[in-house]
Amino acid sequence: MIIGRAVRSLRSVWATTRAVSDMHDVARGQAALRRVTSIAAAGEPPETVFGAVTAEASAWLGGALIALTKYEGEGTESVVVAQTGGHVPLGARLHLTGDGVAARMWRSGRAERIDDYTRIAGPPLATDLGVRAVVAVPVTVDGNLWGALSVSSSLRPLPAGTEDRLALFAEIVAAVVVSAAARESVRALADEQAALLRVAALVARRAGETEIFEAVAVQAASLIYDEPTTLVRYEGGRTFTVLAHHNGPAPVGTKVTVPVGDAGTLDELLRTLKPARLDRYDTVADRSYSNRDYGVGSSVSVPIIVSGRLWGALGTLNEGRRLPTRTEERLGKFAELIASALANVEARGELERFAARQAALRQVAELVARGAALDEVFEAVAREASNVLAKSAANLFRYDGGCATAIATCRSPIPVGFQAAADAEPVGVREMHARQPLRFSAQATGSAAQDRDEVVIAVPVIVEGQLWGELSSTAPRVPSPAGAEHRLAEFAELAAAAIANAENKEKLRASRKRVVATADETRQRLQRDVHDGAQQRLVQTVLTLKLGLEAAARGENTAGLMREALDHAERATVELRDIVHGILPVSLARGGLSAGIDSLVVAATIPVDLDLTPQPLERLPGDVEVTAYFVVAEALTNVVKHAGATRARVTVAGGPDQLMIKVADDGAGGADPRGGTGLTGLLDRVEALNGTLMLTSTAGAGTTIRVTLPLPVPRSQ
Amino acid sequence: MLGSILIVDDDASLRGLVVRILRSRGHTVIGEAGSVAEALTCAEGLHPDVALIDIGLPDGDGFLLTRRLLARPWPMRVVLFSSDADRANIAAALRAGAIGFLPKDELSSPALQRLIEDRTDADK
Repeated sequence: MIIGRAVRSLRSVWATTRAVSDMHDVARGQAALRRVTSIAAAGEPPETVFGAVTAEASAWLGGALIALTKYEGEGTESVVVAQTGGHVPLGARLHLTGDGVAARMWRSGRAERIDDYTRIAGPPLATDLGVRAVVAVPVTVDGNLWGALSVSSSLRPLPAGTEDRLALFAEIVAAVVVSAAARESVRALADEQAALLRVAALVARRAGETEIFEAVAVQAASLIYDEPTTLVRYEGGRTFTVLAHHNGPAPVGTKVTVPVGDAGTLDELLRTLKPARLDRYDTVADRSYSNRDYGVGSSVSVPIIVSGRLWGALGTLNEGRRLPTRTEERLGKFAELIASALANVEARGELERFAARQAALRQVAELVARGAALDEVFEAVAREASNVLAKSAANLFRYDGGCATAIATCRSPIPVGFQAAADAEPVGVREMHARQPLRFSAQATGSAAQDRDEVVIAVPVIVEGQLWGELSSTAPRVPSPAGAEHRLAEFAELAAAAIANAENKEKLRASRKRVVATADETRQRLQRDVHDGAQQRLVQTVLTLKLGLEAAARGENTAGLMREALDHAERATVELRDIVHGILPVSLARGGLSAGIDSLVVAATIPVDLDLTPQPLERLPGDVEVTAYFVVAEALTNVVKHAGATRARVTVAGGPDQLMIKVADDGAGGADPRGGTGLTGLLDRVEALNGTLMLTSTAGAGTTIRVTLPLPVPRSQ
Repeated sequence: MLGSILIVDDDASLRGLVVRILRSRGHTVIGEAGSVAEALTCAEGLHPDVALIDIGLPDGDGFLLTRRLLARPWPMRVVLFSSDADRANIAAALRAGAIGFLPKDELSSPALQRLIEDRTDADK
């Protein structure tokens, strides 16, 4: 459009200022402009178009010396972009220090003419170049003076109207500059899109964090001509961690804490949350180390803001060259676009780690729940704990007397079965008695990890209130294994649950075995008692009566035999009664618990105070009565047999939901709760009813046995 | 004459009654024992023709005693008895080498008489 207007203007210029005889010249001018415009329209590079502009203008103006220059440095310099006739070198940088058309145009913004340079004070550049007269027209792009198109003559002033002719070509130059800038900006946009797409593709296919961070650094670098680029995450407390870099100076994992008032770009970025630039580090007194240690010359940092919060930053620096003007703009734009993707990656990473932990815990928990063998559970605990702790070494130790024994290990230099004397270990076992997680330097342990910079993290395994052992992990000090104590503790709890399960199962099995053995024993004793006692007496009764019948048949006196038979029968009756009483006292069976305990108290060989308040009024469930009865019977038997007591007290108190039985004596005390099968048998009975048994026996202070038995809750009325 | 008899039972009272029954039937009871050990000693010294043995003994059982008595170089007949009338005792008694088994409350019956006498006659 601009070019079309130039051609139309050409017509009007000639129509008003030239005679009709000059129509031939107009036609040449039109042809020259058409050739240039067609080159520009073909999208040739600007340099080609500029070359064509100067060549065509020169030809049209009869082989004149034409130059296209571009202002730089706020009008202090002028760079030769294109020229004809070799009158100035291409690329030459002209310092606009004195008077001249270029300097005048920079001030006026309009076309300028100097007809005789020799009259200008102070010999300017033009005279050095052998130029006498110059006419220059401005090339204005977007309202700004971009450069100048000029024609020079070494002999005489240039004819009037030269300005108008040159202006036609200047318009074309301006149009080409505008379209080149537009193309450049489109390409920049395309680059940004491509960079963003590459990162987005990684995020979409759920690549690892490391890979994505690295891609961000590489793609950001690609937008700023591959300058060294670093991606950092803000950890709070003015500390940044290097996540990835492209030719950056600091390795991944490096932590940098920015001092308050530090004049660097990160300091500025922390204050403003906006892109920051520093071109001359060597001029900042406190930042000379940046230059010395990292070779920082010029630096740009842009913030990555997620949900209004500083997530991290993208930074670039070089060794001293000034970074290009648009660096912060391009990096900043990329940072904005990439922010939410990075936040997602991080959130996803956290979610995935959480899910992995849950899966690992679930796997072990399932083993525990289905009562897998302890070995299998221990192995899974070590394996999954190691997995969750970034595949660090994991060890499960059991404390046993003075020893800590490795029960299960994973990725560990410690073999299963390895034993360490608990005292020999300088840190760990002893401290573990405090039952708190521990973290200490691997050096302190004197372990195989001695030479490496590692930490040992240990948590106690506590089984039903007792310190059973420890679960520990050895991990590199950097990066610091955050939350490792908590992760280990979760597995330690599962191990403890498995151990408690197994122990309880074993207890139950032993208790059942004892119950069966006791039942068998009772049956055998009963069989023996009946067989050896009452049955013998009854056999004798039968035999004696048979003899009596025989005697009667013979007409003899049978009174003696009758008496003898009666005697046997009576003895059989007594023995049967005793046996029955041994099975379950009749008083208990008929009269309930209070009657049963009464009979025990009456039969006791030392004085027994009986306290049945509040009286269990009615009959209790049979199993509760029998158990309570045997508790009192066994306790009183022990008092008489072992305690050396002079008096005992039996207390039975019935509550709404439980029965409490207490038997205390004033004997020697100091009874061993583990001793005696009688007490174990009682415990089995009590536990079978979900009751509790507690023995207190302090030397010199007598013995007290307390039993509580739960009572079924009566149905609501 | 009827053979000499050894009575083995750990219940002295019942043993006394059996001795009275046998004697009333004309048998000669030459000894009484309350255990396997006592029975072996008695048999060694008295060489009874017949041993009446209770199955349940405090230091072993009647089957064991039967085998050990019959392993002696002189002839002896054994009748086992028990207050337990389980019929399985009959076969077990025969396997041990006894000539029969009787429940204790049948000891006054002619069955015992027959067991002792028949065998005694056969040997004569």
